[in-house]
Amino acid sequence: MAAHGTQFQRVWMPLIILFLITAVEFLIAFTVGPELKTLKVSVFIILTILKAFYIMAYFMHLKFEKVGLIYSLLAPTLFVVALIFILLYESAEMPQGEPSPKSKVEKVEKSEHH
Amino acid sequence: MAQHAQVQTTPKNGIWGGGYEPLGANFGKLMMWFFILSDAFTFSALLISYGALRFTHSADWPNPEKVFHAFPGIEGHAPLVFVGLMTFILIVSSVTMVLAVEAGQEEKNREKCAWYMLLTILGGLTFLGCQAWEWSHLIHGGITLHQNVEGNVLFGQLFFLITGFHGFHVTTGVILNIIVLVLVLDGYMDKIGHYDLVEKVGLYWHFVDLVWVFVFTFFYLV
Repeated sequence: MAAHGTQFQRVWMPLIILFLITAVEFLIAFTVGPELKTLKVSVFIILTILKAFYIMAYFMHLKFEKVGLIYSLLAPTLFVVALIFILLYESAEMPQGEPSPKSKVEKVEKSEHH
Repeated sequence: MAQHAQVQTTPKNGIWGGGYEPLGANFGKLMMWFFILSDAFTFSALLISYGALRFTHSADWPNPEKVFHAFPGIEGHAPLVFVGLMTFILIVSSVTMVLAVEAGQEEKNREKCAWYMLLTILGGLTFLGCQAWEWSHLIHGGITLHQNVEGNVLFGQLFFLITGFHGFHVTTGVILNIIVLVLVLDGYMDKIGHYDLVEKVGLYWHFVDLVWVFVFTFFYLV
């Protein structure tokens, strides 16, 4: 079984795409403010899932495996993705918790902090 | 042409009758995939719980850009730079792992495979070193399992639990990679005629990278 496509297509292109998506995530993290929190979080999760698919497809070679194997792994993963979004929605309905008590907090070796 | 362990190419006893690979993967590779799936569920449970706790304690949840702003050896404010470096190191170590698998399976080049395995191991050890520095920096800065000067104590508890569990996986991954490197150098893969073992630990290593991508997003960006 010869390698599928050139090494650039199999290895370096997915790497470049991963770096680009990460760069976009950093950009969003630094520029988008807290007013668009739900949208920001959803975009982060979608971009991260996209990165996950690239890693699974190219680095873990899943794209070139038998369709049966792909489905047997993808179907349970989709349940997890659904759970992530369900939780995000539900957490908006959950009651807010108590803030932590501002007890005696010490910083260890704060003076030698370098 | 990639060399794999020998198995029937056409099913003699029907697809599920034995002696054949119905999903196109050998026993070890299939089991590694299913183990990875189960481990993914465990991490997902932890990260989803993190999400629930984080958004029900928004009042005093620390801002990641304020907490993760240090870089070893540099005074001053470098928000998220160190974790960006850690992500870079782990993703590159995944690439060297892919190259190791290809050197073994496609090219049957023992030396090249060994070199790439070594680079992967070094990447993993560097990541662990970075994580240790991050932990020590947070603990000395007042964020521990018991207290949090920046806000809710749950932040530190969840952070150390989840990055610790991930770091444990990185550690076992590095150990497995070292074992496989020794076997590669020993000529074991050439003796049995295939480099499938490198591919299997490669799957585990990519899974470790995959989890980090999620941990990084959930803790440092959200």
